[in-house]
Amino acid sequence: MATMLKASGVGKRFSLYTEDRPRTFKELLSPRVLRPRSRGELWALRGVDLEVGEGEMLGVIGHNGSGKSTLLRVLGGVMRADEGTVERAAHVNGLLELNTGMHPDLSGRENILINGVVAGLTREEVVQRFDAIVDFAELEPFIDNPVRTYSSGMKLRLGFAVAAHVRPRILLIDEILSVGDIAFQEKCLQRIQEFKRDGCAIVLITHDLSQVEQSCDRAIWLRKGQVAAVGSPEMLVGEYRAEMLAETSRRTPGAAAAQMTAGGQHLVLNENRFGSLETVIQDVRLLDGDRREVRQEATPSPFVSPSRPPGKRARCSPA
Amino acid sequence: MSRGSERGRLAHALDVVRVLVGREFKSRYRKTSLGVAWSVLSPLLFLMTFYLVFKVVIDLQIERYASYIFIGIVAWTWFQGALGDSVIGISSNPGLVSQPGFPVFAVPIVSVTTALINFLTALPIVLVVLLFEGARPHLIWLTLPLLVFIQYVLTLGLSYLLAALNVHLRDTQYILPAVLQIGYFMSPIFYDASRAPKQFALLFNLNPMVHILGGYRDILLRGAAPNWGALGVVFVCSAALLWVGHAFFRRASYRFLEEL
Repeated sequence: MATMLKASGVGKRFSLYTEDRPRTFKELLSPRVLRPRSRGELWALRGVDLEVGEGEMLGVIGHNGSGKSTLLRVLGGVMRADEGTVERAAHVNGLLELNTGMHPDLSGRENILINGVVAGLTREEVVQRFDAIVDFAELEPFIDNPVRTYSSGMKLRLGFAVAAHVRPRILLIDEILSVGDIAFQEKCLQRIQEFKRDGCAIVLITHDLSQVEQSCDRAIWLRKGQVAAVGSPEMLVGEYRAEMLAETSRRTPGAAAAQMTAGGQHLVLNENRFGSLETVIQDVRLLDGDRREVRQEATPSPFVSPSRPPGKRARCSPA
Repeated sequence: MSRGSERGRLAHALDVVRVLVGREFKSRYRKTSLGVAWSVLSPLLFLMTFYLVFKVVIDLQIERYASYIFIGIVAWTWFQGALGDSVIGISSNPGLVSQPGFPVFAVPIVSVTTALINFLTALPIVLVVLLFEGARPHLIWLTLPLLVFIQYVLTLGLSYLLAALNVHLRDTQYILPAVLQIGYFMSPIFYDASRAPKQFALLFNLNPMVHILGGYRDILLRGAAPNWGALGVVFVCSAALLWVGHAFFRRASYRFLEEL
């Protein structure tokens, strides 16, 4: 299996808050002492090694701020690494932001051409694939309407349909599959499987861990910009979940008094009651159409929610 | 097509320019009833104002004055429109910049080309006004594209500098209109360059637009060869500026996303 994308020792450094360099003319002209000084630097990525082969899909997991998006930008070449190298065997395409370059006043038809060329196709290639794109997006009846009249779901379909016809050899995906309705999501995932079969190397970032388990061949776990672990998706996702759970129980206050539910059951922390108690559901009631409490499970009339705003019952305290 | 090849990349960048210039035109006039006619109508309105003030009210005694100012207006509008557009070209398009494989260097080209097309659209009207005021077509008119090319190179070089500068120093986009306003009066758009005070002649001649505007007028109004020597110097300086501007832009482009 040929390597399509390879990162060796990649590091990316950001300055924290302000840099020595002036950002405005006022700063430029102000005396040096008055200028806010650099508060140090942060390595958003450090020493990251990875390799993705032909037809392989790599999942990247990690908490918010762990460097996932920065990694994708460095891999895509839109940001330059401060250390290490990235080697790419082919043109890189990204599913990072859909609808790039689209203009709301122009029709779906005009926007397909713009978006397709911006995504890396030539005009000729977009024209050849035009019908397939419209077909995939299921937007035929609306294709000559301005895009501003589209619903957000329609815009998403249009954007993905264009991206799906780029026929990438290296594809970077950032979190976009979690939007749109289930049926279209399924279609997108199928399309990505087709890319894989055609030998495309894929790097996927998502918070949907089941997606990583289902479709990735390997996974890496980023923690504070460094690779915490590499391995099979099942193993890594399992470990990641375990860590998240451990993190939650770490935050759980130790000495919370046992509580009694309305049903008369004792709740003991970490035995039959879990969570960090940062948010607590204190009361759940089912009301029938006449706003009377329902005690049995089945009720002939539809449920209504109680008129009290839900925020009143969920008590939130800062962590 | 292998997109890894230099030729493939160039062909793609060319398509990017075509498509984005098309987007500018279609979107700009889509919701107007007069459409693309506005690119001719607004300079015509300026022409009428200037003619009224500097011919009817205060007579500057310039021959074929309507043609004279019209040439100045459309050439300056190209210059000003292109720079005003390119200064925010990168800073207002983070989506394009974060697209892997997107030729970012094409963005200022889009701005300059869009404004150029506006200029070319207005040119036939300029010719009508010229003929109306008694100018006759002349063989020297064929050298007009040379002059357009020089102005293109000059404008593009400045565009690269401004686009990259504004990503890091947003003040650029607020200072530029004031600078262009000053430039408008420092360039012989509605007055005659020869009326500039002698002691400032050297300073005045440092403005490249003085020579470019003079070139257009020599060719179109008088059917005479422009001062090719001066224009040659302008061209060499513009080409150097383009080289420097593009290099600066490319170096800065690695850090664009950190600031957007």
